[in-house]
Amino acid sequence: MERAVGTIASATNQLDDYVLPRLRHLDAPALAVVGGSTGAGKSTLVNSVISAEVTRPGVLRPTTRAPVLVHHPDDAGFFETERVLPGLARVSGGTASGTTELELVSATALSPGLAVLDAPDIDSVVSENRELAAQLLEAADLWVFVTTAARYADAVPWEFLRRAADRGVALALVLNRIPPGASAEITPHLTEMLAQHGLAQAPTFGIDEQPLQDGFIPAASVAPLRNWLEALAADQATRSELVRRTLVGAVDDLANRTAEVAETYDRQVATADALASVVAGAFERARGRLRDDVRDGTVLRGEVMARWADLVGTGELLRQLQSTLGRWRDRVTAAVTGRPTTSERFQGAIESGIETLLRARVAEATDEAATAWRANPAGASLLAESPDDLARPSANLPERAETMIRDWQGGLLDLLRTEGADKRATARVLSYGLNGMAMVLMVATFAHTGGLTGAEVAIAGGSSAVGQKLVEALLGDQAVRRLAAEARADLDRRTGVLLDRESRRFLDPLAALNLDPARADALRGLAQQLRKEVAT
Amino acid sequence: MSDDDWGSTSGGAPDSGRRSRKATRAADELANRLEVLDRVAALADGRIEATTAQRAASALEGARARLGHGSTHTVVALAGATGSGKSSLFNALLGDDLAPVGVRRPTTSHARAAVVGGGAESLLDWLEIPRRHHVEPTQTTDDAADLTGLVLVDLPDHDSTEAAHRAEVDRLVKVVDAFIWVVDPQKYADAALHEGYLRRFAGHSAVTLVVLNQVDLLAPADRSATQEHLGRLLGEDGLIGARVLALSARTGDGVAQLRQELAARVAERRALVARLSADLDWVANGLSIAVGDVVPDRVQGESAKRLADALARAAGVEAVADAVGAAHRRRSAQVAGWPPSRWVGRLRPDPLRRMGLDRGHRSDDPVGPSNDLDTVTVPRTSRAGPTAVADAGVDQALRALVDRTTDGLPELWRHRVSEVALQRRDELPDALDRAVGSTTMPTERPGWWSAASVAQWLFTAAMAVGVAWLALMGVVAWLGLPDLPAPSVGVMPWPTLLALGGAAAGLLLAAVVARLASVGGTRRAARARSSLVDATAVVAEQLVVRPVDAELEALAELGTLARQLAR
Repeated sequence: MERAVGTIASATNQLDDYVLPRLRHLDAPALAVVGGSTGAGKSTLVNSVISAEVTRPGVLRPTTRAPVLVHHPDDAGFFETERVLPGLARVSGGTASGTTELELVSATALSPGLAVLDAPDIDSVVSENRELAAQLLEAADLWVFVTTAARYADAVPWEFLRRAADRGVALALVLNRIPPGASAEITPHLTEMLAQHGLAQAPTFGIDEQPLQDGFIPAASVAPLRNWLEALAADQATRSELVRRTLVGAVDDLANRTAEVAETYDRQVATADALASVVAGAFERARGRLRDDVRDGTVLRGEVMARWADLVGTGELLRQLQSTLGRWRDRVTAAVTGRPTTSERFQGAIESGIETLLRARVAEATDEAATAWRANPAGASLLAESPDDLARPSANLPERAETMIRDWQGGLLDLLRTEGADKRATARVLSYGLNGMAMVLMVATFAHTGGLTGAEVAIAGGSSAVGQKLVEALLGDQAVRRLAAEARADLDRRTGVLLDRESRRFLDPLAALNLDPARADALRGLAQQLRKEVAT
Repeated sequence: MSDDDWGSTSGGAPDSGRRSRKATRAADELANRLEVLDRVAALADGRIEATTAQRAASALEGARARLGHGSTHTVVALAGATGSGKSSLFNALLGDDLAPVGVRRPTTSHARAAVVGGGAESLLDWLEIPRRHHVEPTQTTDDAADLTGLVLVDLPDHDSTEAAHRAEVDRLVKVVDAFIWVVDPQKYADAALHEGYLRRFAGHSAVTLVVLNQVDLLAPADRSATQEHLGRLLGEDGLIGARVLALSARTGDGVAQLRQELAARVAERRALVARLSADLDWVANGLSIAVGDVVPDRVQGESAKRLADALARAAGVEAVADAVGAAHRRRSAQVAGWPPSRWVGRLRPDPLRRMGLDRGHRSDDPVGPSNDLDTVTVPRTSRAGPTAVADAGVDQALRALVDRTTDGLPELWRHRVSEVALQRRDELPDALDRAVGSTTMPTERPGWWSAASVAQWLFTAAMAVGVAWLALMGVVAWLGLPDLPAPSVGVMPWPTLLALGGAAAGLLLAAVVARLASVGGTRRAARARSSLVDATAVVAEQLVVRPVDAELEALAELGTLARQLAR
């Protein structure tokens, strides 16, 4: 994933820095980028080749920070504009100071048609240097890769050379600082290594370790390299062939990288889908279990049933059902004794029963989802990035659950009211006490398929039947069954809303990633097209 | 340690007595810290993230193994990039061409060791270095530096295309006693060296020496600037105070100084302890990050109480307590109720018996909640299991307990405590049932029942006598026989008084009994409730709180040890 981000960045750079400018101006001067390890003598080499100190070598590593581009005065127009390397500001006169600038130097020692860029090192402790060097090398028509006798087997340069081979970029290798007499042993070894990496055709130039003359490598030593570059500059045909080859390689590489990015994108989409489905599954299961709990009377058992028995046993239910007076009497009693009425306790039991179940199921689902996410690297980082603690249900779940249940109970009353209106029995229903009827309806809701044990039915079943019979007598047997089903559906709907909100804590960060599976296919299509264009 | 690192021992030899005392102290301290690390390693499994735990375990193992070979020899590794001149320096230090030197890169592919003065065979076996040379001390004493006891190791490079070389370096840098990092003017700023090694060994500056080789290739004016820049880069790596020496293995310039430094180190025999201490510092640093700053506390009484309440609800304590009250009222009515209506009560079953809990009145039952859940076999009660709601309540309480006790602790620890808390979750319903089953229900008969019972029978008898008398009088009158004598009290004849009075007194007494039974039932229910809650609290304690406390204690100890190790 991170690699893909890097690939995208470098592919975009490659496109802006090289492919597009080159396609627009196929006749522009060729750009030779001199790259290599720190301390390999790149700057000295560039100075020596053009016989002028355009870039300052030094002993402190790394030396070159701002890249220096040397061109013939006639070619200035091609480089002063932001045609190539648009991300780097142009400066001149040795004022360049950072890795975001490009120093331009015009020198007559260089033939028109070829420019030389002295890039920073590829392997020092300064990471900006390494990144810029990689970017500059991608912008080259020709790599002049400088290494030394001490370095030619280093791992880092060979990673770059492998990349050069992959890209098919034109390459020349300079082996600098060869100790006297060591050439005979090193050069064949280097040639062998190049051949192993599929770079056998790259010209190699050896330069012995020797005292500098006025800061330049003696002309005789750099002559082969300079002549080769001169020849390249002079020979329009060879140069365009070289440019074409590098360009084709770059475009082909771009296509490959696009395909690679598309694949990574696919994987990312797949991961996101998997993470989302784990969450959806966990919360869907929680909802299913709650639905079962409601349907099989689980909520009724225990505390709720005991309160129901109280309610029926004390005759309060009948009073609730029968007369306003009775209800008032119970209320006054409750006010005097300071104890909640039995019907309040019954409703409280139902509320806390549903709430406890709801919270436990949400906690389970949250746990399941968080555990699954933690096992996945992408999921783990999403968990870590989340501002609230996703391993636990949201902090206000208890309040929301309570409100939800109260709303549901309120809905139950509305249901009864409208049902009463339909039956043109509003008056009767009202006179019999909505509250009591709602309580009977609640029991009917939860006792649909029974699910109660024999003993519990023995205690409460009979007495609940008393109330149920009454309500049935008022509204009709069918109506009670339908109302109970509606009340269940309503509870399920409200539960769904609550669970959705909990699951969105996981799903929203995923959705914020804005992943679109079609995008990978679009990328692949583009890559295909690129390849086709290159082939023709 | 900063006053005896390589950065400051170039001058005169310190007093040897003080030095050895100091050395002993350092060695003792190391031994103590290793002991602490041993305890950490024993506790680390599952409590410390695997790589950190693994690192601690291998540091412990490595330190013990190395100490087992004694401090007679000091293993110093020459490490560095390819072409920096490690092998040349190896040869120059030992005064002999032991290691082949070449221009073909990379040159050295296997580590090579030279033992000055001989011995160290088992040490080298442990280091797995098969290429060994024996060097006589005299061979190297051209400048009066005695290197006896030095084991100099020439490592392969770490930066060439040969991955195997890097692996060999990575293996050996973990076990040698001291490092000499060899760099050259070309390569001294390479990322491979600084990011790959020096930053990792930033804590080891006491046993690190950096040598800038090939200074003969630099103009004299550039030498000090380069050396200074190298020093700055090392500072950025965190190697504060590491000594930098400039020399040329080829010309021999500066080699004698390095040899003297080495000789002083080898004679002191302190590098081993310093290296292992630095390793411990590194491990301790990782551990103290892993354990965080918050010290875990035991489960608070409040949390335990909430769990016990939830368990009591799941165990149906309320229903049992109610049944105890009901059973008392029922039995009271049976014993001291109004005899003519007692048969009504018999139609309803005893609520305690229905739950399988009517064994409380047997005198041989254990009194009070049993503290040992596992040894007493208690038959299952015949009550319904915990309801789903109660079960969910228990889960909720367990989660809340974990959340409250692990607030602020590392994520891994929270997970761990949660696991421990839920470990015996499945046993809870059964344990709760047994706890309820083994609790003695207060079902003893109150003393006044007998008296009331006697009184009831007396009243009933009186009523029966009165009724019979009246009946007899009626029969006599019906047959036209002369009236039986019916003495009277005031206006009320005796038979009527007996019949009505007996009935009235019986009913009145029954009402009083019912009232008393109601009060007694409530009281018994309360007692039953409290002993049942106690019993479920014992279950909570044994199956949840105690294991969680044990885990929290282990975590707290781990934290203390890690902090102790980090000093």
